[in-house]
Amino acid sequence: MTTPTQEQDLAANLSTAPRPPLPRGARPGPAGTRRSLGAGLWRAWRQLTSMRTALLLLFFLALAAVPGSLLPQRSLAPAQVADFYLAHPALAPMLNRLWLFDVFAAPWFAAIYLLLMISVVGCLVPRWRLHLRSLRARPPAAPARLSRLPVSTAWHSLRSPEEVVAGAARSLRRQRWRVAVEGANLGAEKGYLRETGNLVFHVALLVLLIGVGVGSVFGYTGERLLVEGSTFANEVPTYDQYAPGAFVSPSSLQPFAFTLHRFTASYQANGVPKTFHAYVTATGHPGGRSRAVDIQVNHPLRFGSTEIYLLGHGYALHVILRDRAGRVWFDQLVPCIPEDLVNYLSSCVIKAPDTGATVTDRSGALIPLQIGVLAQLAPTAAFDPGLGVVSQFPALRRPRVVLSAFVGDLGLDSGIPQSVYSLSTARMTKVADAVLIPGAPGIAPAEPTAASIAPGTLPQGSVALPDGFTLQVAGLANWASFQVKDDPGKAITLFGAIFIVAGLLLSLRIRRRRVWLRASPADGGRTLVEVGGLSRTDADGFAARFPDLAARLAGPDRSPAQSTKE
Amino acid sequence: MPNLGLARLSDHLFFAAVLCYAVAMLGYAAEFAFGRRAHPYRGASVSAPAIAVSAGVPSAAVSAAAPTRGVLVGAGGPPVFEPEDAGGPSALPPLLPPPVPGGRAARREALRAETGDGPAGAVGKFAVTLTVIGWVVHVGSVTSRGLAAHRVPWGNMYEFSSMISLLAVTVFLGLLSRYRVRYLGAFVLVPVVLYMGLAGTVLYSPAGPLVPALNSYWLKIHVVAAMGSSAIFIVGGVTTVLYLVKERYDRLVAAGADPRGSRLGRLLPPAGNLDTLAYRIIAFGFPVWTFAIIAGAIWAEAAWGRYWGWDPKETWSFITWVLYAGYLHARATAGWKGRRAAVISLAAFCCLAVDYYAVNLWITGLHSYAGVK
Repeated sequence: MTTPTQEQDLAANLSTAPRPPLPRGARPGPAGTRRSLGAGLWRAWRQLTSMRTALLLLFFLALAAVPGSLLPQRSLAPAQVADFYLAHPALAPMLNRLWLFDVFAAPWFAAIYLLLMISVVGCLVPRWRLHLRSLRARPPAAPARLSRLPVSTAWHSLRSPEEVVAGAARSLRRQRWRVAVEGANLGAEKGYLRETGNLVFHVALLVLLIGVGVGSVFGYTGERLLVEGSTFANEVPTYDQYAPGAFVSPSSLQPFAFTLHRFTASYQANGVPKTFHAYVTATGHPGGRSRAVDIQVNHPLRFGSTEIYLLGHGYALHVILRDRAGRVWFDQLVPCIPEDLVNYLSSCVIKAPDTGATVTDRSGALIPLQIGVLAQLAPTAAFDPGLGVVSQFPALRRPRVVLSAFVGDLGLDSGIPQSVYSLSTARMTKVADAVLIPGAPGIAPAEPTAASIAPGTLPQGSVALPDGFTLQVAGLANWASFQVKDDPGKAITLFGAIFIVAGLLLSLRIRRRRVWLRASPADGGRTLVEVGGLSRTDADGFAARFPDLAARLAGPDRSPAQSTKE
Repeated sequence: MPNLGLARLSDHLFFAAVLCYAVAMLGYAAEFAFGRRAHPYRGASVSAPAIAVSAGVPSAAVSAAAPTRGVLVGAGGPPVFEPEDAGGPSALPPLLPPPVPGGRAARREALRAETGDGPAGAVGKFAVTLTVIGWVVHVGSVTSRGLAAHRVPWGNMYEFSSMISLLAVTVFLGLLSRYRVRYLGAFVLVPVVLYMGLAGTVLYSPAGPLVPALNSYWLKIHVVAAMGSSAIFIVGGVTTVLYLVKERYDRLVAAGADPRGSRLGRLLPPAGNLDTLAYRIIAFGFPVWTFAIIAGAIWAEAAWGRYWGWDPKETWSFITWVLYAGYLHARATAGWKGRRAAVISLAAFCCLAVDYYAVNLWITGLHSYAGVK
């Protein structure tokens, strides 16, 4: 338990005035070690919970967040981080070691806000104690001369002192002041909610942070790209990206599945998107009833506490690879990733590792013939002399696929994982270039020119490859990407956020003020009533409202012949 | 389809509003520069004599006592640390007009009576009238833009800038109706005219529907709160700059140096008044900004699946929030009141400007649908 002097000490700790370094509460021990250790720790604790430290920690927090917004962050844009590595090969590893690509998960960032949290807690506990004590205590006694207060007035009343005091107490209590009467003296105080609001705000800040912590530890987030016709079931291996919290196990995932039937997008005349619709059929558990849902931006699909959001969309090529005999070796919908998010010029990578054919490599051994294709899809194609094939509109008005086909070793057996969306042509040779109109039959390759992009040209849907293979782009489909998110701490965070705003409003708008009244008998059987007030905040506003307050206290004493005090 | 006639009207009204504000700004500047030299607010901020004003029955006098530090009387009262006790209440001429019984109407009449003086005062009053006219025209511009596009008129950078400027002028007019702050007019209208100029030229985009991501009722809640608090912080930032100018002037005068470059400082009201005014404005705007961030997080949860992802816009609004919180803490910390706190508040305002312009236009993230190509 802390002694009264320690309480005063804690209260005074809220200021940053220099304090004598005397140990308080430290047991007297051998001169030197134990005493100075206790004193040192106590001093350190007081430093940590002082306003000045809080101020510095706030600055550091703001400063620490700046690189997180200027440098690419892995959690937001891992591709940009990779680009940064390529652009600055010497600088990037150094920045990485300083956690500058993961600023908000960095230990030094965590240190700052953890210190702030400790500082807040250490400051809150004594302040709560003081505030609860002041709530129970009586308003302080009046000073000897009320005229020395910042605002004061006086008048003569024909009522007796007791009547005056009682009437004033009634009037003040009706206006929600806390009143203490002592004989002919009255003290009143109002505005405790200000400090309450301040303390509630800081506690709510901690609650919010706890909610964030709970969510990140017990929740997970994942992403999945679905082509039209595919189904997604909520299992860990089916995710494209999966980031679980520390205490999330694969068996604790909410069971559900949904199939994407159709994705549609509508655009304005200038290409800016208007609406997106992902039409899915969703099932809550295996064998359960399925329902048709239209997932849109701002309208997620919900299963329990898990939510599925529509994230992005794009186009997919229906690619068919046939051999000389007409046998199909590859028949899939290959998603294309948009490089340009305005007009959706997309890049596609097709990898066909099994073609049933073999080649002889340089050393004379037989190795399987693998085919890889690098393609670009332009939804509304046009030819620019400088840039080549470009897209002018995001919808499929004039789709063209420009591709280069490679033959050789895709590198899938090398043991090094590769991205599905990138092709390494180090061990491949280019065998064909073509411009295709998806879905149209016909052969004959050509280099992309203005003529081959233009509508109404020779229909080309397939390209011939060595050994009699033909690659056909038989059609186009849409894909939509979804984000699955489960955050059990969300309710706690929202609760904290609401009280943050409420606490702030109270602590910044409520004014704390004190009023005293003294009624003393004067000559002529009248009573001299003196009223004075003090406000720590908004002194001008209080001064402006004081006459009305005094008039209400005076009540029936209104009379033209009053003596006034200047 | 956007209504082209209304869109054109909106553009014309926008231009007219900018003109009104620009001329009003000149009017305020003229009154400020050439107004009565013996104005009680002029000069360095030495402690003014106590102002005792008498007014009616029954409590006839409110006495502002000789500068005694307000004392927290009585034992057991815990020390109450209020950020506003810089300067003390009675050392300065009050920000508010003197208390007049009879309520708000009488107070406004008294305010009107005492602030108009001579030709400079007439120019000032004309500037206020022109500001109000400009405000009405600006409201017309924003409304017709909304009617033209069949949606609320804040969906891209041009509309944001227009709305924020309108709200800043609204805040200024609101302050004008309560406090004696006509001198602020010249300075507040500078960023307003600049914002609108930028908006009308570089950031302009024709009226049209919203991108799908913005099609939510949260657009009205989050964006309105963000625009409102930005407008409040603009006025607070202007006041803070004026405070710093005046504070430097005071320092030079106190040190006996010749405040050559600070003719402006001589004309400004006392530094304590400016500091208190700036604090009140920022303390009014800070809960609104907090609410804007929280509403944005709730909207982000509905739209993107996570309420906080350290997107650049979110990060910079967080930085702004932390720095304004630092300002509020600094005002309650010994050694950090006054100039240092004001500098913190200006740093926070710079972060707000980065949040609004740089993040939308240069840094890409989930927030880059500001409608500017």
